[in-house]
Amino acid sequence: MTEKKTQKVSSNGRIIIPKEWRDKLAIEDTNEIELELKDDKTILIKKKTHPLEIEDNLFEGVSPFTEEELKEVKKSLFPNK
Amino acid sequence: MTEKVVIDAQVLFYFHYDYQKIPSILQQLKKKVINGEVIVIVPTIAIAELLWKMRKTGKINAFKEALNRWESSENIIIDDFNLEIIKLMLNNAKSHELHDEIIAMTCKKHTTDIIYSTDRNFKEVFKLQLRSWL
Repeated sequence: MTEKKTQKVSSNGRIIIPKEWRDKLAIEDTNEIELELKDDKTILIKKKTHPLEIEDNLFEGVSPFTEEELKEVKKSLFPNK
Repeated sequence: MTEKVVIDAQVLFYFHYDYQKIPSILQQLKKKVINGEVIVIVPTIAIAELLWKMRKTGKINAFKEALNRWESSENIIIDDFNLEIIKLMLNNAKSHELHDEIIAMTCKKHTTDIIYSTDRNFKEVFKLQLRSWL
């Protein structure tokens, strides 16, 4: 469901993201947001997400490097004759 | 000034591993990266090492996605092995293990002495500030 609010824009163009919306999107002080101006004259405001924030366990099912693997991979980079 | 650190292939792996299972020092690092409090330098040699591992496990698509994410992160700098590193290597009198020397010289190139790794050579041979989880 789309929620709507109306606000006055301040003299230097500031608007306030309502507290309940900030809480919903976990937008905290100093977080960055992205503003997107659309062709249909709407402005989209999104919380800027760091690519490392995506918690999808990309490497699920793979175990961390073992000592043996670290030795093997070094060898494959610069093999000893 | 934002802290700059160099990371190795193990750290890169942990960035995309189950957060609850990664060492706490790397949990803290990941948080700092997300919050833009640190600049992470990734030597291409470390990326090659991770590719080697992921190819062995058949996770090449996951690797490609991870690479896209590093490339699109403003505070993750992928650093090529290049002539500048070779020139820094000229200051080292002895021949060291090339893998370690290239990564250590990547630190010098970016004027940082902080490296996240478990390899003690970085501390003992190259006098870097080793942030290890072992």
